Amino acid sequence: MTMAGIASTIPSITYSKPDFNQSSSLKKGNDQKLIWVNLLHLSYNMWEDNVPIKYLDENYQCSTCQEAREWAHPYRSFLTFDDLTWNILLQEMADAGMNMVVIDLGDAVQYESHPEIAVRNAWTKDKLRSEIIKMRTLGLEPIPKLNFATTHDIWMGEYSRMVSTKKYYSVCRDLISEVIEIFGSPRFFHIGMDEETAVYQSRYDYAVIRQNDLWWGDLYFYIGEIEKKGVRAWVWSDYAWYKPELYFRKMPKSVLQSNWYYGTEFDLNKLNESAKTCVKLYNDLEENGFDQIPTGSNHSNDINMEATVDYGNKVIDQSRLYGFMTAPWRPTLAPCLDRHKQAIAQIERAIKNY
Amino acid sequence: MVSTSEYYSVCQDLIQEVIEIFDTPRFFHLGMDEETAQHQQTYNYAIMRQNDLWWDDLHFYVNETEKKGVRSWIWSDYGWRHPELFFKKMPKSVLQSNWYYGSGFDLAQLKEPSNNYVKFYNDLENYGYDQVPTGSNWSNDTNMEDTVDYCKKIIDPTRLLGFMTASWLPTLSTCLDKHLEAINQINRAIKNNY
Repeated sequence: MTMAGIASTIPSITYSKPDFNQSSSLKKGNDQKLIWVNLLHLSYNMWEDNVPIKYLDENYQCSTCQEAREWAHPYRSFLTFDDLTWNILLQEMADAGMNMVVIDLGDAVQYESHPEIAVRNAWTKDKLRSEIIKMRTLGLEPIPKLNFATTHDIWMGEYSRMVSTKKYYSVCRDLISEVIEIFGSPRFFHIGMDEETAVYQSRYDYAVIRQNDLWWGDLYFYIGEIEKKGVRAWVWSDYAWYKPELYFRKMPKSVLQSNWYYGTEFDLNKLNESAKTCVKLYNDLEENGFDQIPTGSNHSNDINMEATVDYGNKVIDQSRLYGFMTAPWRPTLAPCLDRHKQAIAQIERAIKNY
Repeated sequence: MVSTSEYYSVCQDLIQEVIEIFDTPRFFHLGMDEETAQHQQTYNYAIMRQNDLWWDDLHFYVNETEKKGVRSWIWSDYGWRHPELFFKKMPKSVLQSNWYYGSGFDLAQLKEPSNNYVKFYNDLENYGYDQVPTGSNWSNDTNMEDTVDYCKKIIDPTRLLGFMTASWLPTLSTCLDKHLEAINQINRAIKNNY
């Protein structure tokens, strides 16, 4: 086997930036509608791998959204999702003029290639396909998300303890391929890749962090698997907060960027250092020519989302501003319905004022 | 693949085979030191078992060792960071090697974290663990003999199984002198104390 051949089978050997999709097909057309997208969770197994004593009872009755979030946050071997809440939210989004849903799939689908990943009551492929049709009928473009960051991959079950092994790459390849097939070659595929640091895993039983070239090698692997199917990869951009120079040197332009910041202040002169870094990355991504979907939220306050739209609109050229995303970071459960509705209402106001 | 079914199977095989090669040795050192993010900050692949998982895996290795009639032996530095948990969950059957490579041993003079490292010899003794204190010529040439002096004073002879030097250098000719120095330090400690 040649060196290039070996390198193609071992992602961590890919030290330099590969020649990913640089074609003009990536350029945003003038007639392309601005994206207004909501991130919703089908699976919520994206965080802690251990359950606090308070929530050991699978049938714990959550009375508030905060409680529902805490209950669903640690790993659950069953689906933490409510169909009625989902249906109400899809309709609200359509009514608000939103046009895209990013669905965090995780272990909530009975994948044909890896049925062992699915939790109890996970959706069948047929169910997911019918929901995809429903979304499209409502004018909502369905986009899959599988978060491969090790801080958020407990949904992979035992494979989350095999990161960067041959078996792991094989499983990721299968899942990416199968999800693209289920979604009928979507425009984008969100792969997460956020918060892969020790601090974010300080409470986990099992903490893994890919560093140096290994993080990049694995990122290139996921991107390669997605782009070879004609789909565009989409990531959270927070790696750049810590290593901006490396990021702009090694991140392919073909990858759609979602920087995120959930605070109330956007004046760079008034922000503390860490918040300033987060906000300023919108400017830096623009200066370095990356396509963006800035992401706000009602996670911390009720003004961030609209302020994110104002700020992004000011600092990003329209040719690279693909749209805006709200990420409420709440499970799709009845106690959180109002919170989700508030997030949609914020986007609705932003659309009207746009 | 740490903490996967395949991993446990491999560890089980290796422990069994090594015990067989060594013809059922008295001890089997399992390491288990420095499993923190800080110690892996330059690694490409950093992995830390935390909470009950670290303990479950430790108990797995200990059990695999003990079921063959061999005593397991570990580095004790997990106890620096989680002393209460350590003394609640660490089996007394596991031989302890606390380690400290500095030049001062006066607890009143030492600052944190060195104070914590040296005091752990006392804590292990207070909780009744068997010890093989470990010194080194890694940082200076006085530590090893001072380690022997200190521990001989504070550890009851029934629980003081001996002393270890760890030069932390490869077994290569370029490091021969440094290794010989480490052995000479132990030689002097034996002559002066035993």
